[in-house]
Amino acid sequence: MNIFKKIVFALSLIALSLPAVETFVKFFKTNKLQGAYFPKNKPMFSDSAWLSNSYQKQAEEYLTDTFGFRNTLIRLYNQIDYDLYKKLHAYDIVVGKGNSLQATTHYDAYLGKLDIPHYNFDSLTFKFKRLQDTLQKLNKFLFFVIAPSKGCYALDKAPYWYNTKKKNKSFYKELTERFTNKNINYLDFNYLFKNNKNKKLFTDYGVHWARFSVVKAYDTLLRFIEHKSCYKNLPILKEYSEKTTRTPHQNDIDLTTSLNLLKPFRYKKRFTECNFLFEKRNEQKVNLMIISDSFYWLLNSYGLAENTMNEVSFFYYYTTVYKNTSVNNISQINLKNEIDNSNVIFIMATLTNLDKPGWGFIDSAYQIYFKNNW
Amino acid sequence: MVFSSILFICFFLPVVFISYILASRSLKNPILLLFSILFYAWGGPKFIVAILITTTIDYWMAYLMDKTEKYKKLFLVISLSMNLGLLFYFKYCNFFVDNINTALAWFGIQDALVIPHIILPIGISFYTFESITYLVDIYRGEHKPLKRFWDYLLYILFFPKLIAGPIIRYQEIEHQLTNRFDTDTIDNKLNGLFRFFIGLAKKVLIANIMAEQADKIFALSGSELDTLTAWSGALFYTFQIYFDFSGYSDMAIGLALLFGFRLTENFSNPYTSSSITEFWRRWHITLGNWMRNYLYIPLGGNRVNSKYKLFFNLWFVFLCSGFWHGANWTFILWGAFHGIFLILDRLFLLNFYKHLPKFISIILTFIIVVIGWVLFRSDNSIKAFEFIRTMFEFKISNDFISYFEPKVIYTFAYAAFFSFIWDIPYMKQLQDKILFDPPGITLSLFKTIIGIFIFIICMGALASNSFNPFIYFRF
Repeated sequence: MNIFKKIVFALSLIALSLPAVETFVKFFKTNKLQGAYFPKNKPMFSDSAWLSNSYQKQAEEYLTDTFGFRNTLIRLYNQIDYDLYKKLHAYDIVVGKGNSLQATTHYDAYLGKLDIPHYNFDSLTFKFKRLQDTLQKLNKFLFFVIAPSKGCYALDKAPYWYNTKKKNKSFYKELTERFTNKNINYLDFNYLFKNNKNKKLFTDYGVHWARFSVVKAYDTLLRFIEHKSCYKNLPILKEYSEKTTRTPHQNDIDLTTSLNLLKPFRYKKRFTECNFLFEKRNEQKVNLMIISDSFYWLLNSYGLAENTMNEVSFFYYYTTVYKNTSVNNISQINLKNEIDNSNVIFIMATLTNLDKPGWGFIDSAYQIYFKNNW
Repeated sequence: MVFSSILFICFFLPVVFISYILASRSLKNPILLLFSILFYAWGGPKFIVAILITTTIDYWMAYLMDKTEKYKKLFLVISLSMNLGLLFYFKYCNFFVDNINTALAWFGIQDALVIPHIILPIGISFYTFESITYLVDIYRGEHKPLKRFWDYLLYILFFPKLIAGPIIRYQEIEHQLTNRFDTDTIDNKLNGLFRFFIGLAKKVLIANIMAEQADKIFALSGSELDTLTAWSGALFYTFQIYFDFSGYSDMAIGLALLFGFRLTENFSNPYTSSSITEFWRRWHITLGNWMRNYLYIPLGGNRVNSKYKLFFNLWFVFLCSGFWHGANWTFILWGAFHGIFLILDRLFLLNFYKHLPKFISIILTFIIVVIGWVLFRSDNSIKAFEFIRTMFEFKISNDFISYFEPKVIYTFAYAAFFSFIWDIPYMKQLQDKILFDPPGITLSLFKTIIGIFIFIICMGALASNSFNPFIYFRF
């Protein structure tokens, strides 16, 4: 009997030691975890690091990040939590009503729950308006686009435990009120989307606007430019039809990519795809400059801007600049030249990013045109 | 290094255990001592020298006490002064200075006393109390001092109980330090490993989940708090502290069993107590025992002439017990609160409970304990009273729902189930059979499978969540 117990105990010990062995031997190959995260660096030992406990802290973090079977264990645990409790282990993502995936920061932004530091709205609107008017004299159209937020669009799909009471005045409300009062050009997609809820303009599994919905959104954007600026007869949506599919495009399921489950995520809803044709109505060459968050990637997912405009430069969070086939850091860019070369300029941000409108573009552009002239 | 960390479970523990079983009998204690020193040096590198010096002094003081009857008391006073002085300096100095400064500020004297911030060495409250048991028991002539210095060092530094107990009286472990071949058995190892996994599950799968919610609620301001949210927070914390601390004790007891040591139990289903008196026989048992043997009995115990003296002693012991938990008025209040209910028990509550069905007295006791935990958990006494007031002022809203996502509901239910189920007939026997009895073949296989399953889930949880602090780590 003791022999049997010793075997059982030895097996337990082997199980206990396996992760340590696997850490160094790497006998099994596992897939990398999905999503954005910062892997921990191997700490450097020193007397001072040891005495201050920083070495120990870093070493523990490093081991927790690299121990054997880690990725599989995380996927297993995430799967159990999802199957049993509908709980997800991905930053900000929760399971909403109807098994949809929702992002709580978007709800928080819409309901005024984000702890946002004090922002000088007066200075922002003053500078923006002054820039808008100055560029207008140079035949350049500057405006602001508020990208739609799922936090507003799908508030009714929030999980039962999420408190949907409004807390403070949101940045969205504050900015749109001030933009209206100061005659600042802006296009509020959030408002337009909210009033078209029946059209399912967000999928249940994505945080950005649905892929098909950007076609009409882009058409709306062009009509807005035509209406407000000197640029007329821009391309127009000529043909448009929708169809449903069970195979989603990656853009429509972006919330599922960082869930790290053991089994593939099951979609309970169908997705909409569309066929369309934009007709070019004249040979007027319009160059577009866009300062935007990730919503522009979706807006351009069919190559809409690039196929309908003469030249497009995209300033992603005003840090990386994509133009034609080149990618540059903002520090390598001459902003004055870029603005001079552009006809239409817009800043686009969704509700969660309205606390940093333009991410520094407004101040930089203002410096160019009104240096020493406050 | 906490037990519920990847470093400990996957690396430290297998290395220590394999080294231990490969070592010859004479090397087993040195191996354990070496790894215990490494364990302490990992978490408190600045204090390892201090603990080694004080432990050495204690050992020689005890040795001298045993040799010289004449100066016995003097040696005891010297060593107790050193141990309690260090405890006072590291744990309470900042508290007293802050309070003196606050008092002087009322008279317009600002920052009269200025001292640098003192960092608390981990586990100081536990190993100081253990050193005291060794010294006092030798002074009382209850046992002889250890012959080998290394064995004494191992008694103090033995890593499973070093930083958060259980507080082991020297005489409880005396023989095991020198000869534990009757306890170093395969049955104990199987039970020990299983007990470790049970403790790990309590900590990782229950306490951590409760802690997240409790922290959110206790961080709310008074105006954000409503009655149901306050009760939710108090209950979350009630389950958090039990599953956290008893989980840690389970892990410590399980680890010790792996190395052939049988440590004293620290918890015995405390939330099934039907009075506060009973609660203290079931909660943090080793601290209760210590307080009784080294404070309450020296004060006169139950044999004092006056009833008032008896009540005062009881209350004073609980005040000290509260203060032992931390240098904050909230802990003192918590101790005083329990002390009052112990006195009320003796005055009339125990008689009153006798007329009630048992489950009613369990519920009433539980409510008292929950209120006590609010005092214990709150950042300061003002917040604690505000929190307790909200619990009873019927300020109703449905905001509390936001703390009950499905996983929390289920975990809360598991916590309640595993807190109260043991009062049902036969369940206690089942618990004892699973945890303590030597397992047969089927049971050992069953426990191993369950243990490995728990181990895998907990490893996943630890990797998935970085939130893993222990409440009792700094006490």
